[in-house]
Amino acid sequence: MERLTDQTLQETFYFNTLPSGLKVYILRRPGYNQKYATFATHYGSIDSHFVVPGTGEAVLVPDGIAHFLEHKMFEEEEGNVFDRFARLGASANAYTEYTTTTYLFSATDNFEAGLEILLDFVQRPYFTDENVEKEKGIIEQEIRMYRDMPRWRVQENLLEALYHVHPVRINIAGTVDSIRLITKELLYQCYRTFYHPSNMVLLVVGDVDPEKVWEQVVANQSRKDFSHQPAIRRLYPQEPPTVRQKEIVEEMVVARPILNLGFKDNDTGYAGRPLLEKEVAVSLGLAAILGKSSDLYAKIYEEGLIDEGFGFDYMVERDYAAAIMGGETKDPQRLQDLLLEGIRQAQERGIDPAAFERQRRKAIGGLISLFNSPEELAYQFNHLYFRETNLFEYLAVLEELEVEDVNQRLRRHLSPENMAVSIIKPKRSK
Amino acid sequence: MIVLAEEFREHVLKNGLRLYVQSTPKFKTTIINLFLHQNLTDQNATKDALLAYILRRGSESAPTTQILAQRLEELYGASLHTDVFKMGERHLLSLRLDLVSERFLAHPDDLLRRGLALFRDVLTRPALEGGVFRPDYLQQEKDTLRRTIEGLINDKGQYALTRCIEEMCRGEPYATFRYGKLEEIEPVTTEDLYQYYQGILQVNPIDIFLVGDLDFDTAVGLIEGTFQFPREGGLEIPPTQVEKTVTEIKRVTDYEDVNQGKLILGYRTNVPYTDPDLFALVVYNGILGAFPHSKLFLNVREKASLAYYANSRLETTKGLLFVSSGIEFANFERALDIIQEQVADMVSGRISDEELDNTKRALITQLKEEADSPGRRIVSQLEGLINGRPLSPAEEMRAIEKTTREDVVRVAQRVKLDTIYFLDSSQRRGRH
Repeated sequence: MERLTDQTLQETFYFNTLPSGLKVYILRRPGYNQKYATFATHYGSIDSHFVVPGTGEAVLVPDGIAHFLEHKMFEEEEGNVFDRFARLGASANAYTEYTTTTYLFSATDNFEAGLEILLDFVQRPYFTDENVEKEKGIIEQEIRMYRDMPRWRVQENLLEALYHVHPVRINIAGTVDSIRLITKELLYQCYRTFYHPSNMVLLVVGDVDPEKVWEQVVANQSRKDFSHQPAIRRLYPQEPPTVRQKEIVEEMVVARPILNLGFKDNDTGYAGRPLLEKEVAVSLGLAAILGKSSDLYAKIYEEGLIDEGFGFDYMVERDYAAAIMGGETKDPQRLQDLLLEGIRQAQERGIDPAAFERQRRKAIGGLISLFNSPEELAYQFNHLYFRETNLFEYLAVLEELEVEDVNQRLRRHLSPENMAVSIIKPKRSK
Repeated sequence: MIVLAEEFREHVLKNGLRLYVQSTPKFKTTIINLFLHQNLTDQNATKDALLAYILRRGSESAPTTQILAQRLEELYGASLHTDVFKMGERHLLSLRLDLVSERFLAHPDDLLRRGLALFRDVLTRPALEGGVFRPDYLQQEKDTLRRTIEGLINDKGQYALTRCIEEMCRGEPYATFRYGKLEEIEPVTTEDLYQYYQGILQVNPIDIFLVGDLDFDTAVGLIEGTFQFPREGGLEIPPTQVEKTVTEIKRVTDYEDVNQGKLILGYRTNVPYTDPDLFALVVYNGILGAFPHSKLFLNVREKASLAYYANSRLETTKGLLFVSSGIEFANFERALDIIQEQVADMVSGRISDEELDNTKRALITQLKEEADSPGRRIVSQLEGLINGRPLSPAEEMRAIEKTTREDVVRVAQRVKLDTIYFLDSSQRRGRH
């Protein structure tokens, strides 16, 4: 296997590629009992319009199908996959995001048997009319659960306001109506397009022998027949640079209003290191302006406009990106005014270099701490992998980034015309 | 060969603080977690919550919240987390500091010593004005606490569980919400709170846990040198009342304008933590609802398609068990029937070998994995100490391994339904 090592972190990734195109990565955690594996595909909720490989035919499938497919992968002809893991004392799970779907399991003993099940169940779809119908009730309840979560709603509404046509404006799970349109034929079509090994990555984290894991994966994959698949063509609509709507307000059963404010970033289309540089620059910049040690945070906290739940995030992918900030507040308008004023001042004067250095240190500490938790580590690994970069490059970018790069980027991106707000207002029970 | 966690080694400081050290090179951080123990009452919980909020505002050496935040960032993003929680009828104020281990830094800067000094100052030298807490900080944190308490409704699942506990344990200390009560906030003055805090530091039990890559003697030396404030000690927290006979099942329904109904069933297990059947109860909970192979997941979700989640969880110090599920409003009776059938099957022993074995294996995996998580290890050790029965993961593992179906059925017969809580849609009010 090949190796990728970082001296500061004292960590090594072992990796290799199978003839099918499947990439395998292994990170050793000496002394850990837990062995953890993820099997992820570059396919998420935004991939509902694509060209079927081999036919050249473009299809548009119902919203929420990637997530539906994730649920259905756990069913096999012989029964339920959870039970097979349970017999090993292992536990399995999966999650679907805008651009990826990740299957995972965790075990202490019987890791090899668990890895075999993971590789097999994700590569062996079994959809029937009956099991597809049965899932609709379960997913409908999942959608309704999220409908009652104000922090989800406020962000979903914000994306709906920021984007005219890009599918990131649609909920990951779709809607109660859209999932009713899903059939086993559609699921197979999506599966065949997006679950080819060349579109996937396997990661193993734990106290394992990398060569042995690799040999096991090779043996498992050699028993399966994967025809060559040309590159997937995903079709995304042309998104205008403007925001679709300046404001979305929804009433929910909450104690106080919630404000989310977002700046759409139109400088997109990057992957690899340039994408990472953009991500790190905006994230550190936001932390310097809005983080707990900033003047702006002190001001809005002391005024009672925010609490510990206030947060900010730079949501960034190849072809969409937005800086999002907010939280619960007694006065959404006042909070919005102060945030905009603070951002304008930071753009004018530039970020305080000392604040920037502190955020750099904090981010380096965060990266080191990440290696404590196999779950968090795997999440970040996959997140970076599908952007064609990795955790070590992330550290290098953190160390090399200059405050002036941040200032330039924030001046362009955080402008009032790219901004939309989403507000949840309290609706008290009658 | 799986090695369970290195045991915690205990040391009593000169001032009576109890220190538990786990020396391990496994992690890239050092964790220091301090717990102040208190009796659980509405008044204490409210004050402890205010303390959790006001202590993180600043110290003598980092006198404002902003400066404190800057210091933490300079320590490579050390995280200082303060919060309150309940374990049975005991309230705990927790202060936790996570620091990056120096061996991964190009410029270590004496990180551990500086981090500990900052932590000590937050605890024993808070930001004061005129010898008491700063009035502006207290005023702000009273508002924060009001928002926390009122904001419970934002999380419908937590709201339903908290309401169920409140109704179920009415008249018992356990009914107290971990953040206290709105009415108790206003009367608290800076003097009251400061005196209350000094009292806790003087007499209440205090435990410190340290997990990191340093040997026991070094850890003891560092902690002795850092937390040497004088104190009397001596306060004893009475044990939690577990056993209670249910005379009539309570039914409680709240109405809100929501998209999904939240069903919570509260059970009395009547099994105290020190009971020989504690681990039979843990296995019982696993078979019933803790895993995706459990009865609740299989029957409520997979077979009946009624819910996305259906699970059960234990509060082992108070001996309570809660079943939770999010369902369509109209399916209330159906879901309730299915859940009660599963509980009845536990009593009559309708438990397959596979259910029993899978559950034991899953619990053992959890225990082994606990060794990889300092936070989980600390909380589980604390729970054992509070209940006078500190068990190592190896002992817990053996207890689970030897649990039989008969043990589970015996414990099932002690578990009694107390309260059925439903968060229903306001549009259905008055219909049933």
